[in-house]
Amino acid sequence: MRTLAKCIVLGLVVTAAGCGTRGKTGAGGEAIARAPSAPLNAAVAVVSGDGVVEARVQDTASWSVLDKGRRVANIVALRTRGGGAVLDLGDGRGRLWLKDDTSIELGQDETGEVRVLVATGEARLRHGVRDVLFYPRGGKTEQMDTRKNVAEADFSLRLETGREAAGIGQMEARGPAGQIAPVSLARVSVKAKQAGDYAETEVEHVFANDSDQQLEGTFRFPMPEGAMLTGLAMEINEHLMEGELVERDKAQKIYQEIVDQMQDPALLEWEHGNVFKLRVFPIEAKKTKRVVLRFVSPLAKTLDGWQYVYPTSSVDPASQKAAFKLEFEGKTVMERPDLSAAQDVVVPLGGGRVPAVVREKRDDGVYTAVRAQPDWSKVPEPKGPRPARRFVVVVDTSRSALEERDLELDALQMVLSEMGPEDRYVAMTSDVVARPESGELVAPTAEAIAKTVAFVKRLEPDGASDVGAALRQAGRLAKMSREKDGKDVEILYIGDGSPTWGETAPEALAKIAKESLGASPLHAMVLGKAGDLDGVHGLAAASSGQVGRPRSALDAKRFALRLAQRPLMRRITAAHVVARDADVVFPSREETIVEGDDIAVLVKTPKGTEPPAQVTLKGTVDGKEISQPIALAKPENAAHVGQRWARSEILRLEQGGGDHDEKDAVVKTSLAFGIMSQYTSFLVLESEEAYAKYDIARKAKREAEAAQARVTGGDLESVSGRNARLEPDHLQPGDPEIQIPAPADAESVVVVFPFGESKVASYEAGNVNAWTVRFLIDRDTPDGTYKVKVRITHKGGALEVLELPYVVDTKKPTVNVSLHAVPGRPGTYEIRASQTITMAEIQGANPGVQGQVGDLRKRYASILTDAYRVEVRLPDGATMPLTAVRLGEFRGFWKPDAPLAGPVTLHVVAVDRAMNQNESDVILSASTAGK
Amino acid sequence: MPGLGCGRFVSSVALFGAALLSSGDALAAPARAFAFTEVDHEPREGREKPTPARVAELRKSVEEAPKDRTKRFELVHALMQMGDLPGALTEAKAWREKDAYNLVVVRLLGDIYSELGEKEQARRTYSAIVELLPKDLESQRALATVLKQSGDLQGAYDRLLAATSIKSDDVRMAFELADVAQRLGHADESLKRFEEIVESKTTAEAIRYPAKQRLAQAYAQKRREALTRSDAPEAASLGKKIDALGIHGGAVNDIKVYLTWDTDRTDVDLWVENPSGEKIFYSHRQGAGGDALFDDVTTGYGPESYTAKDAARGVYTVKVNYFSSRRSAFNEARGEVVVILHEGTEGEERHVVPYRLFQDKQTVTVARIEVKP
Repeated sequence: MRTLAKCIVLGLVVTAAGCGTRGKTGAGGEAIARAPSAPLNAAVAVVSGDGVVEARVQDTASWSVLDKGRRVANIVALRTRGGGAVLDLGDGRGRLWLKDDTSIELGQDETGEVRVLVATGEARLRHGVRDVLFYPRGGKTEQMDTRKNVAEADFSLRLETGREAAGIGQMEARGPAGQIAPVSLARVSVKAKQAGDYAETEVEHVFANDSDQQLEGTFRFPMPEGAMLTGLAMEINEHLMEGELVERDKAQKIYQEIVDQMQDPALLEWEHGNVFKLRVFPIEAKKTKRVVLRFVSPLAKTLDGWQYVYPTSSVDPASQKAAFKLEFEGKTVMERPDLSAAQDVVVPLGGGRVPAVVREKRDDGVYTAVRAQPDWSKVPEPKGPRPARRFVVVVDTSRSALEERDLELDALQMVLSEMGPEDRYVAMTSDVVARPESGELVAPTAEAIAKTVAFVKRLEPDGASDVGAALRQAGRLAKMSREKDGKDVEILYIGDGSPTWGETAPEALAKIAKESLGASPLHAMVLGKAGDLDGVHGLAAASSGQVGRPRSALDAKRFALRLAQRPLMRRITAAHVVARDADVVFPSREETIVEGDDIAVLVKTPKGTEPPAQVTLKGTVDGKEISQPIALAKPENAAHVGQRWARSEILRLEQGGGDHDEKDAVVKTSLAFGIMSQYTSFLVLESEEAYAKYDIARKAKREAEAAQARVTGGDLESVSGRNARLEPDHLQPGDPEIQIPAPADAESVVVVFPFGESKVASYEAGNVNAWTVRFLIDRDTPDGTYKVKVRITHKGGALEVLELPYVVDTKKPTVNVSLHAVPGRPGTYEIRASQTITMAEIQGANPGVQGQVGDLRKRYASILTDAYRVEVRLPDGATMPLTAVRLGEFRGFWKPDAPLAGPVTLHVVAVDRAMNQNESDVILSASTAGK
Repeated sequence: MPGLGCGRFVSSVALFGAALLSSGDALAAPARAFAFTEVDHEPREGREKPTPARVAELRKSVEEAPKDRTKRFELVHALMQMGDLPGALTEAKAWREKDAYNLVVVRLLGDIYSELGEKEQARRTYSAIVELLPKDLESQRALATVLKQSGDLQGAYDRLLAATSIKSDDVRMAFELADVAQRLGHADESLKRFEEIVESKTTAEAIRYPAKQRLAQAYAQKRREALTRSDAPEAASLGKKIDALGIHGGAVNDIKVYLTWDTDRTDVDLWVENPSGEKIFYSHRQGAGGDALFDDVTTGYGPESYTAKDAARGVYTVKVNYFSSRRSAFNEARGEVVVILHEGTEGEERHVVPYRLFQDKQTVTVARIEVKP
């Protein structure tokens, strides 16, 4: 498995991507990546991780498995497979993280210092204040400071937080009596394509009900990190019905009303964290059920370049038998019979270009996104050794903490575990009462940490949040600590940070913070969806503290690492991005950013205004204000930029406090941009009539259909509403002309034919008003469907790629003709013509196909029926065109001069879409048929 | 403590202006002695201990219909009545797990902790109401009532302040805030708040008149202080202000009773039986002896008031009746009865009696006042 150095998401500000410039300096300037001269003089043990670790000890050539917890001395080499591992080097020599498929030499030098050489993979070593990452390059081991490349350390954090379930959903089903019933995941199919620096993904789950009962299921889908849910479709009555985004309360009301009528709606709602829940009913006995979800997510930038990653490494054992297939840009990159391999699917983009600046035009304006890094050379490096630190850790135990209780306890554990041995801390809980664990600051030993976690765990979350009381109590503890050893004290708050008791006004809390904490920085790990930006978050930002909004244990671990490394890291506090007044820009809130993290800037420029050429990063370094430009030059068009902006806007609104106005604004934004929020849900109804009945516009359906027609990646915003097509699309061998209705001002239109040839189209104004190209279809070309690729380079450089089918058809159409006297209209006759599919046409479409002719005709009728014109020459020499009444069916009314006394001869001409023509004379009597 | 073992309720007595008077006018010490007796906080009827069979039946009902709040409420309540507080706690917690935003269960849990003597935990639980619904007016008000009943006037004041910041034009809320400010001894603030209520053109008469009564009390208090300082002009000015309020019978009364409750859209009535056996209530507002009920409020929160300017010898019985609830079967009403004796005189005394009614048609006798010769 390849573990990714995944991108970071810290609060609103930072995305990232592990992707900073790599500082190759050892901590303290000393290289640790040197050949050891002796085995490590300590006993090493594996403490966590899911990989198999093998060790080689001195004077042996064989490898032996190092079981978790077993200490082994004299190790000279280690390697991992099937996952990574975290090792304790023993005797206080430090901690070692090994990525999956990593092989290292380990030992020490003459002075006893730890030495590491990496042959393959990646490793991280923490020893005292040193924290170093290692990786191989050109047969040598390179090393870099973790503090300058925190995002690169992500693999090590994942080893300690475990794999978060994502990407593969589960179905929990119940029978009529409410008993749990087995439903198996039969197949997962993923189709993905690039959209700028993001990817669009469509994942289809197929569940099988092997029982004899109709079941009701609850489908839960854990979204991959950073993903935005944009669509849902579900199979109802054997048709895939596209869902629509609806205001949550309305959706629930409709859902309940329909359920009461015993019909089959489906409602997708956010459940918690990254998990979305969908009720599925019915799952018929011995049948399958399909559920399709669509989302967009950021591409990952790693040491090995850009990648698309589909997380399949953490699959529930019950789902491991499912077949899995993943297509990226139309190509199958993974197809396997089951999911038991527990590996993420990684699609390297290779030379594929991932633009730094992307842009999308929408009806209301232009949306621009840019990934940027501050110019760290303008930010001085912290000097001196890492100081011993003192912390007062405040843990929210109010009732709202219940929502993210596990994450809160994990976060507490992680923060304390990342502290250095010379650091000290005291914890306290906070609700309507602030309770310190003790009056003494203690060292962050394993025992002390366990005791602190137990102290917090004992108190069931309840009550309101008196943030003012917590600040005062924290201030008293900080004062006590300062009086004892004179060292500065930092405050860390973990919780939702929304004051609901005592002082709640931001200005009153700011006053309390100033009086109680003085110059002590207040850091905040804001948890839960109710996290209030005007509460602790704002106080922390104002005190130049570190602020994060972790959504997962991994996020919390990232926060903990950055907090621990903070004194050694270059950072910009109160960082925010500003643009012109007319633009709406994110991140707009002040945050602290550190070296190695990217800034994800999103700008909305109102309609009628040119997007800005740059925005400005502002912030504070060592108390001095700084200002750096971020260029928005050379953007590439990409889809979903507006949705990314809208997600930030929704987050801003949701954190505003939940007033009715804000809720309305969230709903409006969510519906306008087609992304889910906590106030909107996807609703799937069983028919178009049902949507109409409940006055739900079919916006998502139209967009899904439009997206399908677009076929491949590239920016399509400039052609939305235009039906790209080939004309004609049914052809005979020869040299037909194809028309492509690309814009007249396109720079070029190139058509790539399936037999390898490319042709440049030219624009024909006048009646045609389309780009045209003539090409040759060889006479030996078999009948069938073929595809051409059309590459349109729009004005401004945006690239659009279309994949359009055409049909080669050499078979003449055959029609049955009949003549009928029209009842009530004496002397008038109806001529009917009905196309019949011949075996030759069926064999042409599918050579070798076998079966009963009647069955085959039924099966192929909808595909091969292509007659589009039928004419009849009458006995008097006149030609009568018949009117098409439905696919393959034509009719006309004939009133001869005198009623027919006997059979007549009609000359029938049938023409299909490829202009194949069939002519013959038929002799007919009224109400008799002929061919 | 009177009542039925409701340790969470705290009654209070306040004496205003004792030994402050120097003049011999209407503010002189009362001639007659009143004996105030607090009776019950909860109705006696319907409080028979449920049988184990009834509890078992309720448990079964809850298992069968776990979303039925009425059944859940009845079960917890039955266990409390049986004295099985740990059992009631378990059931209430189980209910809360499935119904986190339900005010009734949170309040019940707080009550159970109170009865178990776990004061801090009770306060945590009660306060969770506003943690979950910080911008919900009714939650703030409900919590304020609970806190008042538990004796935490400052806590109630904070909640009402928060509530008025959510909805500044809620006059009843402003009235309650002014009332609590008065009881906390914030005389100037209380006076200012009552003045604003009285002066506002949008204030309904149902609120304006009780506000005038309170304002008259506040002015009377200030007048007594002015007289103590021998500040005759100030006392005269305040006297004019009292007269301008146009309070029936003025600001000096033998008995005044106020009733408030916490639940919107419910109707709780004040009944006072005077010594002649006459019941003064919403359909008989004027007593033969001159005592009277002012305003029957049928849309929630109160206040209603009863005034006896010249109390007759004998016993006055103060009751509260739960007339109707238009919400749900288990929606209880809580509130306070404030009894003021010798109103506006140097011997003015105030008794606050909390009450709680669980269902329609229940009546609780909260106090008796014996007027001695």
